[in-house]
Amino acid sequence: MTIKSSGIPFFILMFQLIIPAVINQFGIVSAQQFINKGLLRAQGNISSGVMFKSPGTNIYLHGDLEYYLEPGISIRSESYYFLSTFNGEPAFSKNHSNFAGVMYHFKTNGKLDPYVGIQPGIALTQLSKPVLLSADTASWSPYTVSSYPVNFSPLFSASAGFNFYAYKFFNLFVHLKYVTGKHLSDIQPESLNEIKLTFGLGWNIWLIKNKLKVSENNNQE
Amino acid sequence: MRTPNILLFFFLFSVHLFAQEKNNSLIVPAAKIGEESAMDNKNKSGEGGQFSLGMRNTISAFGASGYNGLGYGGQFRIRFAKKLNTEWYADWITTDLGGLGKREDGHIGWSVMFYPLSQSPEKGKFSPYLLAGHCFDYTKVSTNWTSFLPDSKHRLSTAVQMGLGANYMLGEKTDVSLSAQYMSHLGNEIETEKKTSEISGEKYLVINQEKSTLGLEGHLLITLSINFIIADLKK
Repeated sequence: MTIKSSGIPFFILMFQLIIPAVINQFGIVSAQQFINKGLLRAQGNISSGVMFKSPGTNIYLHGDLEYYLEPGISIRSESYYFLSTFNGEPAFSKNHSNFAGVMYHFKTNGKLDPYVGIQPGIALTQLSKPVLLSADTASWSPYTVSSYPVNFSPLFSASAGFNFYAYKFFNLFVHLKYVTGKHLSDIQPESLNEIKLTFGLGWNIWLIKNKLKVSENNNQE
Repeated sequence: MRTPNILLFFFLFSVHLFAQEKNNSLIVPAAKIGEESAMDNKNKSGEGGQFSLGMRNTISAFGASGYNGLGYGGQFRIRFAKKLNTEWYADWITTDLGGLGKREDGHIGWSVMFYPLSQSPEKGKFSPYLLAGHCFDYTKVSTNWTSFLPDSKHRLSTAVQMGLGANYMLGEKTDVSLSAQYMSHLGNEIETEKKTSEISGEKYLVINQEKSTLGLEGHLLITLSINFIIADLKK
């Protein structure tokens, strides 16, 4: 082993030891996959986003609602309500977005639910007026005369993440989303490309009666 | 803004629950008979009658402006027979005209989808198809603020489209479809012309519209869509 010469094999070794321990401890592996047709989950949390061409980190209120149509397929609607930008001058004063699409859930033997998905979306966006241009002394430019209109902008998004269904009514999750689009107004266009990250606590219930028994059995195990 | 998608979500899963409830009332206790019933349903799923609902992203390419646009929309499909499906869609596409202006296109239309291979829509299978149809369109072209005042012009037109596509069944009731269609618009012409100011060297856009003459204008639409079968109209 080359543990002393490099940190990477050491981390691999640690993961080899830690992951099975976590799996055993928290019952991630069981006889049956937790997710199934009829499961409804939702969450409301704070999300952060980094835009590729604008400085700063965006903060959103993020809510989603997801329903499992089949064991490996769910439909998912998401809304991001833009709150603010920190660590940089905000490019947008409004950057709300809404998505609806499908998630593909990989087969596992337990409560862990990794997934990937695609969601078309639409954004309601408005550029921030640059602070310097608010002074009367600012020279004429497109940025001084623009009305800074609010626009709807089509978006494409791809997501990946996982849910961990820890208990009958709640889950822990991490959700990563790549968004691409462009805000077009009456001045230079602005890219809407962004990576958004949300994690936290989600809620879930079974909407189909026979699936409730499955979930109860899983929790008893 | 968020209302349409939330409504769509509730509509999708309430119809699904209704369908589920209907199926549950017919379930026979014996597991084997249940399996046979599921097999029967799978075999019948390609025979037509499925109503599906979905969302889509569309890329508009090779248009007269030379720039690509991105669109958002939705569609529903009604499958009439094993080899014949129909798609009814609406799209909103925006295109950046080189930072000098923008073009917005609204499409409402329909396509007939013909599956040349007699393949049932089963989980994990590709189904290629040919599609053709027509649509009604609204187009608005606007210029950005430069040293010149902004301008905008719009038109209504009708279009025909034809192309190829394939859908991949992610599950028994869910598919992802990718299609490419060439769409040809018939309407009065809106052309954009990029110019450079001789005084300042600034680039700007000029919009020309010939209201009295009809013209054809084409572009390629590449559409990625997700569809959920939510009802069987033949039951």
